[in-house]
Amino acid sequence: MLNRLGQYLLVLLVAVTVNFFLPRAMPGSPLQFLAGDEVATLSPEQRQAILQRAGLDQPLLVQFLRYLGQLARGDLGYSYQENRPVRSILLERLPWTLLLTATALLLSSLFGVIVGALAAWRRGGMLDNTTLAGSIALDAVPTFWLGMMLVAIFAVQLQIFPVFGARTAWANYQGWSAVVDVTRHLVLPATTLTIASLSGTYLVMRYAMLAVLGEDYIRTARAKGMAERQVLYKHALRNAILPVFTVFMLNLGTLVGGAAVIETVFSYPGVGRLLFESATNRDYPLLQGAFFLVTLSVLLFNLLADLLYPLVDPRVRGSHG
Amino acid sequence: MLLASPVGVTGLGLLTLMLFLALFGPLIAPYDPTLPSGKPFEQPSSAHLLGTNDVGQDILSELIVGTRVSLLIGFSAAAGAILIGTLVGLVAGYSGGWLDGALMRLVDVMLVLPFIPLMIVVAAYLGPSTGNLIAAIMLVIWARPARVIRSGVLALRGATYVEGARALGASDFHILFRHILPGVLPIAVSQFILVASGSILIEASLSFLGLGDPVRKSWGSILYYAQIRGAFLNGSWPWWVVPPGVMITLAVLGFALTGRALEGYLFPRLRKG
Amino acid sequence: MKRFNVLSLVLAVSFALLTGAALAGHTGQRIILAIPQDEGELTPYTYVTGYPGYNMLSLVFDTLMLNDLGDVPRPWLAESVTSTNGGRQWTIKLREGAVWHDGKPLTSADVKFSYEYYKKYPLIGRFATAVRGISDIRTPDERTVVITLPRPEANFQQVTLADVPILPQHLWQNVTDPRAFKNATGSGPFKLVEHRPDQSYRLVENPSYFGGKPGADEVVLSIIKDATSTFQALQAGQISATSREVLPELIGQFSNNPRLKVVRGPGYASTLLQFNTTIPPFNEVRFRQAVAGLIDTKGLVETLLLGYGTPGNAGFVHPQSPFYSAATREYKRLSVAEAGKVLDSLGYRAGAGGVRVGKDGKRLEFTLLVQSNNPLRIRAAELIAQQVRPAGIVFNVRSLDPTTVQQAVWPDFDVAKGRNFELAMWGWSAPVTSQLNLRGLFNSNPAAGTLNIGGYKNPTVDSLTERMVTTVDFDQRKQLATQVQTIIARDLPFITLWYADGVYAYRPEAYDGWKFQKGQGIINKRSFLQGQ
Repeated sequence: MLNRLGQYLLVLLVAVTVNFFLPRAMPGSPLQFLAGDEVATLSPEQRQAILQRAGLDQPLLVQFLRYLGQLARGDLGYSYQENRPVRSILLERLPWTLLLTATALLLSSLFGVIVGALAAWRRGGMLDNTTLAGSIALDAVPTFWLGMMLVAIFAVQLQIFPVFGARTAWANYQGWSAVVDVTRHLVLPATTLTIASLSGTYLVMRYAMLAVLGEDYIRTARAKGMAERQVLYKHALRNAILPVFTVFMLNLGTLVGGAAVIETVFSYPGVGRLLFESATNRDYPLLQGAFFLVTLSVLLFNLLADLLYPLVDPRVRGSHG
Repeated sequence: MLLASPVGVTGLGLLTLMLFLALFGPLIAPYDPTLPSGKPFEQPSSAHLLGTNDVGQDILSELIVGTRVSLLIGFSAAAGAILIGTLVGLVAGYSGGWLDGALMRLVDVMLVLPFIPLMIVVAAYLGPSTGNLIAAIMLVIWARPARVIRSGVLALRGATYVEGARALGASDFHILFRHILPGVLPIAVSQFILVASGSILIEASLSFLGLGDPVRKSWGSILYYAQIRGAFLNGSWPWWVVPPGVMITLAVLGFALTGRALEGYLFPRLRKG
Repeated sequence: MKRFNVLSLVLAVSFALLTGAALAGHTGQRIILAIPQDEGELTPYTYVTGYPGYNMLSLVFDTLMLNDLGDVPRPWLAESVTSTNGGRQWTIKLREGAVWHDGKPLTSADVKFSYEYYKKYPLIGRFATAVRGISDIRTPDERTVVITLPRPEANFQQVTLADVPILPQHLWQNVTDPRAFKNATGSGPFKLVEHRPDQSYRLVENPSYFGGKPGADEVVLSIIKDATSTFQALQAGQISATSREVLPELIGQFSNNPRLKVVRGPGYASTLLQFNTTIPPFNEVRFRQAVAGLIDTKGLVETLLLGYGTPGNAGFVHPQSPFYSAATREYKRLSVAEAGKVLDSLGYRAGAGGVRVGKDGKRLEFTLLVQSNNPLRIRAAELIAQQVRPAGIVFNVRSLDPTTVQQAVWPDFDVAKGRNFELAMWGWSAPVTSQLNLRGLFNSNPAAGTLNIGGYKNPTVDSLTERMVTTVDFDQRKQLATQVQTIIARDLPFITLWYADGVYAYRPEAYDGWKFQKGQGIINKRSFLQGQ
């Protein structure tokens, strides 16, 4: 476990370092994004003063150490473009991303498990064959394009769902109507993401189920004349769900950063889109903050998975003594 | 062999079609897609089966000629990634010890770093060009193949013929490249195909986000222009947005099906389904 | 029967509401305007973009003068503005009855305080430059301000009086970090009541505004970052208008939509092909003329803008600008053969692959830089490369991150630091043109020609543009501008490709008070006021 923890810390350190030096190695300074459109009218003294305020006139190493120090204190700095703390920007974006990705993860896991189990139960049947082919085909569809298609059909042509955003910005909805509003905005991006991640869970569930169904005790149970339904629920499903749990835990890690492209297609105000925006705007502190958050969440969930796994799987617990 | 299964036939068929378009695209395309051949934003007609784009270039020709760049990026990035992955896997698996530990830690780091965000960051900083795009994809995807190949090497290291070669006094280099490499080559090939399909998807996503090379015709860059020049607003999406997506899907499907069939053929034990 | 009752009830209620609204001076209207990004707090030190950020700021804060729809500064917070002593002394009389949003009166002391405050922080914020030249401000009484300049400034009205927002002294006098002070109390037609970062702003009318009745009870600024989403929302009726210009390809479709109104007017923003005039062969005027002659600017406007634009004037100034000289000649189109003759005479002979080679053996092959986030410019670069190719000149279009292009063309935004490019697609935003900054664009002294990114050098232009800066008289200044344009149209330090029209779409049922300001568009302060 300690070994594992050390490894995560190493990853974090690497991520933070890459994150810090990569943008600064590129040509061009963030001056334009610090000074806005007025950069053309600035005097050299004004330009220097702006860089100085952002701490960008210091040697790189000094900047890096300062950055690490800030990070250790939980201070993520100020966004150049929005002139407010990165932390508050991230905290505003995080709930939206979590709402979107958690919804998609739950739905795709649910459908994946059900369809995967049924497909394996009737192996080689209609359902099995069509879903297996379907999952392979779906895997080949670019997610962003799938999103674009849904927008074109359901938002632009049929006008059933809103085109963009996470809620109606100008309407001051309260209570129930606010929930409805947010849900309507959620439908298309969440559907896209669900479809995109469906096949993973489905395939794992199907294979696990097939393996379990091949085990002796299931055969015995079936031979004993136990009701099909009972075998399915009581024995097979329960045992086959373990690998799905592993996949689920790994997917948890991608919750924060995994929807960057989808968030961009739907103008959804999440962390992934923020990452993309801040990269194009050379907003170093914001980019670093977002990337840090994404990496941290991956590591935390992986750690959580490591901790939970022995509790769920008796075999692992056994081998660990 | 591969042609024995319907999956393999479909996959190979799609791949052959794509390769054909990539090689002979400029000869088949009705127009030169880099030159205007009609008015901007023309609807599909007999002259332009899929209409024209924002500067009057024939979309069908763009699509056909774009195959080359999309496949090239997919192939090059995959080849590079497999090269790195094979080298790392070979060295780590064969040497063992601290070098193995260090390399595998590096692989762990790469696997844990958030993938798409990392791609965005790397692509944004390397700048938009075909070469950089290939480099960015390659740098991010080599880790998984490295791990798979390493486990292949570990399995072979103890094999009798390798042990035998060692007993006969063969050098490490000789053993590595004469005995172990041929053994893991099938793994590398099947990994290559999987990685190539992934690279094509990544290229499309990055180009769509504007992080690709907008001067080159690829399926992703066609979608970028379609999105940015209002294909969803003026109703031209059925012939401007749908076809590139279908092409990407077919290409990826070609790779995926071929990869599966190949896996089934090379490693029959994996064939559970 | 029942239905009739309900209907009459609705009618009665709406009638009551309408009359009530009319009595209170309300319009009952709400403007939902989409803007592309968050603008921070709406104060002069924290707003973000020049457009539409400054325009939004102007809803909350006022300036002494305000440009009219033809871009001429008119008294605004001032009742009158007079200049004496050859443009060195400016006497400003303030309007009666101007008050801050918190009810305190707005006096000459606030004006003096504001200008001096901006001057006190020369390194922060956008307005320090505009007040830099002021040497003295006096306030003989509550409503009079007298400003002294050591030397006349031709653009003083445009650059300072009509641009610098006046701050309430009673709120700002103890503020030592202006960027951290987030109080948007101004004197403007609207009060900021809510800001949800990255989502929206809500502004409500200021019924006691001195400059006229606000056009709506409420203005909601909704942040939609994506252009496609913005126009989808407009079509779906989710917003009333957008600060974004309508893409050329959508204009036809929007015009046919009965629920949308499309307005079009001249836009001053320019798109250029920029030469590095300090390196061969671009240091040779005749070479630049040959390249210019091969480029079909009208064709570019037809293809890329679908005709919604004006082909560039060889003298750079927009034909609708008050300073435009009709005498400036247009670009002289050359056939491939004619251009070939010019290139022959310059010593560039046909070589391998149809590419011309100079006497030094160098091929006429150059890299044309273009910003990867600007599809229109990328397309233009590709078309231009095709147009010069038959004459034996190769332009290799290279698309790079915009920051990287800027760093090559204009390192650190400082022309004194030189340049590291051959050709680049470039453009200047509207203010450069409307303020007629010919000195900035063409003067060869880096301290004066701060926008002279191509390193252009002509002593006559230097002295003419220097004189323009201190010439307050309009006709004299126009005379000088005409001379500059004539020289530029011959020297061609860059090729002005086009000025895109400003085309805007809105839903008239939501709000129909939009007014087009020449070169600036419909998002201006006067659009948000009744009458005007």
